[in-house]
Amino acid sequence: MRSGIGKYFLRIGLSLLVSFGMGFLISEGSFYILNQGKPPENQDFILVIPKGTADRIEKGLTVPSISENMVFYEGDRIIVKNEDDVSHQLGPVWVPAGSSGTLDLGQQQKYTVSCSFQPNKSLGLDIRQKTDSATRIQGVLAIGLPSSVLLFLFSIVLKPIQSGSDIGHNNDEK
Amino acid sequence: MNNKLVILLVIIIAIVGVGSAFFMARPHGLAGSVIDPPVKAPAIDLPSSHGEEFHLQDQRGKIVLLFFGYTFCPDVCPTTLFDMLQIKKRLGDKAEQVSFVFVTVDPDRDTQEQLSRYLKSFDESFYGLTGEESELEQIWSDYGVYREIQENNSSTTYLVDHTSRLYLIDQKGQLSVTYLFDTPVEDIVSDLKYILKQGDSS
Repeated sequence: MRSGIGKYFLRIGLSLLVSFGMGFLISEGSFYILNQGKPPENQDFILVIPKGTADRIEKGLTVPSISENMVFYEGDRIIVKNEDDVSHQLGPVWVPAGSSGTLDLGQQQKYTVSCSFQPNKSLGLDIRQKTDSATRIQGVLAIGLPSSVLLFLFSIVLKPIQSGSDIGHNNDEK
Repeated sequence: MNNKLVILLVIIIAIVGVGSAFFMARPHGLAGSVIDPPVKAPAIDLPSSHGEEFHLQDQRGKIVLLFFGYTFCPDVCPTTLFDMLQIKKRLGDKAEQVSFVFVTVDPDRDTQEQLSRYLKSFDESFYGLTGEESELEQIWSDYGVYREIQENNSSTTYLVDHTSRLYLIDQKGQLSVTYLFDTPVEDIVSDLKYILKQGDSS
């Protein structure tokens, strides 16, 4: 006959197994749906500064094709193509007219860089963490651990574990 | 051991070594912000600290490292000029193929004489350029140089906020790379050596 503690361990083990199985399915399922099963690769985003941008900025107008805030992932790059007649600047990158420059986006962070092709002279960059193996494991853990605790507690409430002494006591009562 | 076997082993090791070096060799990545495609560097024709007029087009065949600053600058300019001096030293003989140019953003105080005195404390071969504000304004604009005088009560001790970028103009007179203020000297030297080598081989 299994002891009371053994039964508790079995229940905890089962809760962990079910919860981590569920966590794995949810986390990896979402990853697969979002990335078609492939880890996301670094991307080059081409930002075109159209002709006449400097004139529009001087008049306080926005450039419709360029957003004020952009979201990227670690390791992405912004390639600034300057089709305007004057040079432009995006943070550390200075791009003469008719050329292009590249801004390498580093680690995860949210910041604002100086930008000559925005009316407020700044551009918000939101660099998010790339989904790597560590993130995927974190996802499974984040679902699996709390779920296993909850599952164990619910199971205890719904189907209490009877220890050996309890069974003996019950048999005596009968 | 059989001599033929030794020779065979040496050949195999040599092939593996050369092959590994070939596959492991990576193309040089420039440390600065690359201007792609390079564009013709806007003309600079200004009086220099050497006494005569400086013409950027006369520097064809040499690399030009260009910086905009002022002699009364308390921090960025002396640091950059010191870095330029270190670059020149580390280039050794190859430094003859590089011109170091300092264009003022404060023409009211930076006369040819003042530039000459100031640059002597770094390196006499460095060009210090000044001129009429109208001439300089065109150059500042062409090179995207931000420059603003910080107003205060004194007309002689004011500070000037300015761009601290370093520009690299290649042997063909094309603007090809820019460097941020804090780019390590060794990275710039490595880029210069690479560009000089490219120039030699073409």
